[in-house]
Amino acid sequence: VISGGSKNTLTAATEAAVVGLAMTGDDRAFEELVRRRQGAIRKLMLQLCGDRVLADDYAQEAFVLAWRKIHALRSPAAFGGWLKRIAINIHLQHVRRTDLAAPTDDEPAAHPATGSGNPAARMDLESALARLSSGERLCVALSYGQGMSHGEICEATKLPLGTVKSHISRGCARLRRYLSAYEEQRE
Amino acid sequence: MNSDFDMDLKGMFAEMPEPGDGERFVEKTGARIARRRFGRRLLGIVLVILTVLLIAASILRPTGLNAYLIGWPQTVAIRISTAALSPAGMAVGGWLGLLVFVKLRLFGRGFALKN
Repeated sequence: VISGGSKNTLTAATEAAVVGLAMTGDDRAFEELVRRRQGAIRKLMLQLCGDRVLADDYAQEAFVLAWRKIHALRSPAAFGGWLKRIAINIHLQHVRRTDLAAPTDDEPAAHPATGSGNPAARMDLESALARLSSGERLCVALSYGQGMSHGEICEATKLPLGTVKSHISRGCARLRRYLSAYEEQRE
Repeated sequence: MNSDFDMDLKGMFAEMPEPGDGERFVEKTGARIARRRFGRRLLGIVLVILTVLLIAASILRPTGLNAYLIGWPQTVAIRISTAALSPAGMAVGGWLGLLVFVKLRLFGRGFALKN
C-alpha cells in the first residue's frame, strides 16, 4: 500500500491501493478516485436523468456521499460497484416523488430539440433518452448502458420485476421509433 | 430484428461520449466536500458549545439571594425548565430533534425506493 499520497505516486498506483488509502482518510487519494471515476459516473447520471447540468450535480452528490461513507467500504476491490450503487440511489432519491412505476403516454410532449421544426435538430441517443419517462430511462440505461440483469435492476431500484420488464420493453420500442424517425429525417 | 436493435443500442450506449472537462468537475467536487466538511465541523462545535452551556447553566444556575442580587429571572427559568421536562415538552423537543436529525442527515438516509 502506498503512503504519503503525492500526485504522481497516486496516478501510477492501482485503484485498490488508492481506495485503501482513501479509506484511511487521505483526501488526495479520494481526489484521485474522483478523477478516475468521474467520467463513468457522470455518463451514468446523464443516462439516468437526461440533463447534463443535473447529471453533474448528482454525480458530485454521489462522490460527496462516497467520501462520507468510504471508511465503511468492506473491500477496496468493490469500490467501482459500490460507487455505481450510490450514484443510482442518489438518482432514485431525486425521482422518488414521481411515480417510477407509472406507464407514460405513447406520445409525450415534443422534445425541444425536435419539436422546433428545425430539420437540423440534433437527435442522438442522449436526446432520445431524454424523451423517455423516468422509469423507462432508468431501466433502459441500467440494462443497456450498465449491462445489469433484470434481477439486478429490481434489486437496485426496488421495482417489481414485471414493471422493470415492461419499462425496458416500452422504452426500447420508443427509443427505436425515435431513433429511426431521426435516421429517416436525416436521409 | 429486435436482437439487432439490442446490439445497436448497447453499442450506442458504449459509444456515448463521457462528459468533458474532468478537472473542473474534480475541483468542484473537492470544493463541495470542503464545504460539507466545514459545515459538519461547525455543527459539531456549535453542538459542543450548546451542551457545555446547558450543563453550565444547570449546575451554576444562581438561586436564592444570589439570584435576587444579580437579577436572574428565576421564575422564568423555573417555568422554562418545568415545561422542558414535562411530557409535552419532551414530545416537542423530541419532534424537533427528529426533524433536525432527518434534515441534517447526520446518520445518512435510507435509499430503498418504496413502490
